[in-house]
Amino acid sequence: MKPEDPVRIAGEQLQSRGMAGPWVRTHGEIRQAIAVEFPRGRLSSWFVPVTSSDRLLGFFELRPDLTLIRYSSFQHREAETESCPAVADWTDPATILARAAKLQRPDETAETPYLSYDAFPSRLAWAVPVSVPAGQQRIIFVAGESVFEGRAPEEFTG
Amino acid sequence: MPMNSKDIRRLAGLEVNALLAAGTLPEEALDGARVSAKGTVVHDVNGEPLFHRIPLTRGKQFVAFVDIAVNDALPHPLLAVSYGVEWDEAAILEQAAAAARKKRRGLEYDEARFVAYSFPKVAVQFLKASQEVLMLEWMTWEEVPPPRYSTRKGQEPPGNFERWSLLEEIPPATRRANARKYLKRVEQWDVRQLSKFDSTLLSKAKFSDIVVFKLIETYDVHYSPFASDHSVCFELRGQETNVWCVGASVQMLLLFYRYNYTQTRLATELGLGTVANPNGLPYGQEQKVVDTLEALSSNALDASMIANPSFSVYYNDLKANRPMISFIPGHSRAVAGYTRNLISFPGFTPFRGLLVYDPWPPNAGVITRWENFDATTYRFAFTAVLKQV
Repeated sequence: MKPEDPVRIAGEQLQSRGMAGPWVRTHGEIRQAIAVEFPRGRLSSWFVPVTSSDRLLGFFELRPDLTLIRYSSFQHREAETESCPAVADWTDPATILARAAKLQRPDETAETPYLSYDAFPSRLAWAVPVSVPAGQQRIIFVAGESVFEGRAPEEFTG
Repeated sequence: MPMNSKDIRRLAGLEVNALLAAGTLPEEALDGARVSAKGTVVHDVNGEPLFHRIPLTRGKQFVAFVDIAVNDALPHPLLAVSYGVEWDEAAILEQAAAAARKKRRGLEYDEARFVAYSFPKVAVQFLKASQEVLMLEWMTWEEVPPPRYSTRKGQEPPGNFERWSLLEEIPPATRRANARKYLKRVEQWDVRQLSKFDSTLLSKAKFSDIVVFKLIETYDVHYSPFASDHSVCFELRGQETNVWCVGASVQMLLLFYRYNYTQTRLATELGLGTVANPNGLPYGQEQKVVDTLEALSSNALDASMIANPSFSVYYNDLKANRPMISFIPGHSRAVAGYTRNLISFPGFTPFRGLLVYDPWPPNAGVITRWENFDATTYRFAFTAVLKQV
């Protein structure tokens, strides 16, 4: 499996009509696929961003075998981009780290973030592992502008 | 299961067009060809018509032939598409007659017909007063030996050059199941969108245009039952904390009916804590969604909960213009539309999808068009029916 494979599939889906609207088909640009890992190092799905200049219009999510899971759009209306987050919010590790710093304690060190999810695959978020000198580690999640601590695997809907 | 020649040609054209559109057959070889005739009836050894062998031609040029079952003991109308050997019924019968005269000087017969003597192997059967006088294998013109059913036992397969009846070897239960499958397949083609399509023409572009854009049923909810007078009647709300997806989903559904509640208010009703100290909805407390929808609409909405919902649960409510709430493991979203393929190509699973208003990520949310229904696990669906006087 090569990272260009999910990009190719996403490109085909984008042009196939019925998924994204005509404006996105014309203006949307498929970007590099990002592996969604859970736990770290294990491929759970592929996140393929669709952008227009610096806005993230939406994304395709594909299973590791490249079966389409969904196309999700941040657009509330055809051709509007006001509701769309900055591309960097979902693709740039430096931006993710800067957001995670909000919940980071002074003695904690942040490691390289990776795209993952909070307990359930539908809750996509960047995971930022942070550790204290004693070796304990916790995860701070960053989903767009939202920053929160990972939830325990309790059985609830949220 | 009588079918007239026009129906058989139409069926052949649609089946081959479907394979062309799916990329299963080479476009360069078949695109622009035509189903030129009703073809040749090929009988089973027991005498029943089994399939029609129909030439596909481009002008006067032979391209291929397709075998279309006309007997519902077979589970699918399309049996095979073959290239490389020309199928010219009249010429083959002439060759067969010449070979017969060589084999049996003075052979008398009043009818020659085609028989799948060992399906899919074909022979020409010569008959006199409806009784076989000779059977010659197509191409080799070897004489096919008489049946020897008595020497075969149970499920033992037929020999290499042995005649046997395909129809009589299909167990009755399989035959009944095949008939249902055959009928379902034939009925799939009986859709309005194809009524004006010239099915005798093989055209990937023309067929795909209908299949891709018209043989897909898509619907999203509107305030009125008339899709043309309202547009985008459902609004996305992001969840205001990282565990308030249920609150956001209930908010979206109530908003469709003009009940405008904040997520904070809904969190109180659903027991989801506060913005500063939020919690999710524990498993086992899903009934609270039903209670909240009814209470906060002053019982104008009659809500209900369905465990492990099938696609038809979503389809029926959305088609009735009612948005729903969908619980998947650990998460909740609103659903406001569906899409489904009305027809499928052989070997392809028809796509079924939901239009999902997902409150995740927090304070943003996404609209998923479409969520693959067959790639997702659904725990509960919540319906809300507006009571009317």
